[in-house]
Amino acid sequence: MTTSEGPGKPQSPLTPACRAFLRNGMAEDDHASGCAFCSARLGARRKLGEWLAQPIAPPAELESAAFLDSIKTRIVDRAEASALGQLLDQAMPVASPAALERAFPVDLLDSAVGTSAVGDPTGDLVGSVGELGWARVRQRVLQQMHADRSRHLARFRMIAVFGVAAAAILCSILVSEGTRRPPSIVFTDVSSVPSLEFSPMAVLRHGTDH
Amino acid sequence: MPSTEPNHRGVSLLKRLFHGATLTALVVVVSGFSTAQSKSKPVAQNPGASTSFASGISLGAIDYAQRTVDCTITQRRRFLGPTGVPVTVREEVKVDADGTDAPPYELTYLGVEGEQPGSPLWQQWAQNYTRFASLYHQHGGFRVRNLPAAQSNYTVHNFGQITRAGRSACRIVVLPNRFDKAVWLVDVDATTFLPLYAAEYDSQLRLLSEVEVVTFSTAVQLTNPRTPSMTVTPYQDFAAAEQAIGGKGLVEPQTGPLSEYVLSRIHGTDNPLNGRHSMVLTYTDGIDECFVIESPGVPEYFAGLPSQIGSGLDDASGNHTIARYRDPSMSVLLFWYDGVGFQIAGRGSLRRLDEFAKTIYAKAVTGR
Repeated sequence: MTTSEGPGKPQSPLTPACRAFLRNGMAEDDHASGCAFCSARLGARRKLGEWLAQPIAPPAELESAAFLDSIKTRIVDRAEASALGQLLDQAMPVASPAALERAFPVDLLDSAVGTSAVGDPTGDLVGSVGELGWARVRQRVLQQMHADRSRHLARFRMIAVFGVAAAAILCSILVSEGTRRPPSIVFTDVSSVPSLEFSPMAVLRHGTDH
Repeated sequence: MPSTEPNHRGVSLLKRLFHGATLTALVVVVSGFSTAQSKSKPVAQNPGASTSFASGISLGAIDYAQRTVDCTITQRRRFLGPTGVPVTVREEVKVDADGTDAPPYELTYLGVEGEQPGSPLWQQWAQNYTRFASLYHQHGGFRVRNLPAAQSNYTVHNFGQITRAGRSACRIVVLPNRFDKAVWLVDVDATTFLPLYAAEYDSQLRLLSEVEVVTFSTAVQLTNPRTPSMTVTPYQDFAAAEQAIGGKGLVEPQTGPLSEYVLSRIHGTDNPLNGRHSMVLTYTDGIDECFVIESPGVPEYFAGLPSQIGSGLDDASGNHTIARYRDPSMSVLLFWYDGVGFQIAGRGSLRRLDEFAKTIYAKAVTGR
């Protein structure tokens, strides 16, 4: 259905009734049955609904990391090859690790600071100090190591001795508090039956208790 | 660790040797002694005669007879007198058995053999019987005091039939399982299974006591049942006795050193002369007895001695002292602690009483 909207302008196929039909969610009514445009839209909607009701499994390639990486690589390559990529390469060059090593400030070693700290980088370091000197240095380092170790051992022994002594003192205190020395009992022999108020054995043997 | 098996075999062998030697020696010694001392000489009968009676003699039979058989007997009881001279006293005993181990009885002093009635010795023993007749009857002589303990600690050996007091009897020897106890020679009546003769010997075969029945009858009629001269109150256990007697410092003994002895009786005594209370604990191994007497409130036993060491006090070296008297017939150990006098008494050969006394003393001192 065409509607005239003004001179020189192409006419929209939508009428106010069509727009109202679309705005109202394309509910089936008399307008759709009488309008070819809206009826076609309604049929397309039904078909699309059927398709959407059946979920489609994605392709297996989408789950492949290599496939995705290849896509990303292709995107990066195209960006590098584009005008913007070339411009960035010129403005911000990327230095490689080998280049960084070659960029070490060797000139600094030739200065007075480098010479005093390291010595002649092109000379023989061992020869400049002397073997005797290095032997002494080595001996001093070893002595220092042994001294440290013996100090550690002595400290450990001292701690151990104090610990054992403390434990012994504590145990003796605890034991002495918990136990009593049994009484010392001695026997004294007498030559006659003691005179007692009641002595059953004396009565049974002698007939009397005195 | 050295094996103890050879030691056990050695001890077992020694035991057998001891028993065999003792049995042989007893038969020889007793036969001669009885012939010399007794007017009613035993007549040895044919050992080949019927053994049905001899084989029935057991400690159980004797125990049953003591509980159930009435009797009226005249017997001689021999003591080692205060001066060391043996004294033979004649007495009459009437027992009205009632099934218990302490039936009513009557014990009457008849006189001292060889003494005229009214003589000083005769009167002295009359006084002794007035005071101690209960003790003579209950604790003197042979008696099965605890049958299970007696059966586990003694063995009975039959030596055939004889005649004693005009009655047929069987001679048995009751041997202890340990060396430190007395050996008993007993003539048991064939009809009633009551002892008609009992002699006590130590391990050296020294005669320690003797009771010999002269006349025997199973009829009895008590006219004046015997009551102890001191008030005697029996108690169920130590706690009841301690509460009744009162006084702190009483000690409940533990029979560690005397493991085969059991507590047979606890009673309290009240001395009529001074009203003093004492606790008497009687222990028995079935036949033998020992006593622990605890008397609260008594003065220290050895306070008057010139020695500075008291029986219950620490001496300069911190020792506690037990006074000990021991001869072949008896052991008496005395000590005093915290106001309580302790006396432990038993047979002379029972040297384990020393350790027993030590444990009681230690418990009195430490309180546990």
